[in-house]
Amino acid sequence: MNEKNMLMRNLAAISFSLLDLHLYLNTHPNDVNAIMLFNQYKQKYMVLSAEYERTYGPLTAMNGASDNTWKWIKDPWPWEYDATVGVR
Amino acid sequence: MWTYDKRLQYPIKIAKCNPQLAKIIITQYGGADGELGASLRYLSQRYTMPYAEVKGTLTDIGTEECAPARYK
Repeated sequence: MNEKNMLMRNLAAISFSLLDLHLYLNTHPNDVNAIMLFNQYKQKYMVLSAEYERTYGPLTAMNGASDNTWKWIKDPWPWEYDATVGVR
Repeated sequence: MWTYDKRLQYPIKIAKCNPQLAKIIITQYGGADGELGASLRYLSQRYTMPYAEVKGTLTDIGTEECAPARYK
């Protein structure tokens, strides 16, 4: 697996944890342990997504306008074959 | 109300073409009990849901059910 896909795999794992904690917290809003975990994973996500975006382009349209060009519309899109090179 | 990330929830690589499997999978997206229908049901139900935590959760899971149909 190349570095891009390794990063992407880690981002996917962290976001999945965040999503699960998010849904859990909807019905358990005062669980301090879950809140702590959520903030921990959020911190990891911020670090890793920034690292990914520096090298491989924006993950959200909000971050699409770095250094004077609009990078959002650059290929490949996630469903395209070129985006899957190195994915197992 | 929606934004999206330019990545898949789980990165996949389709190794070979399999029309029979594709036929089954497509019913899970668009069929009678598929994700598209589920998504629209959750997102409609939230308008009359009186409980805050469920109102939020219906929006969250209605959004989630929507994602596979768009991306895969």
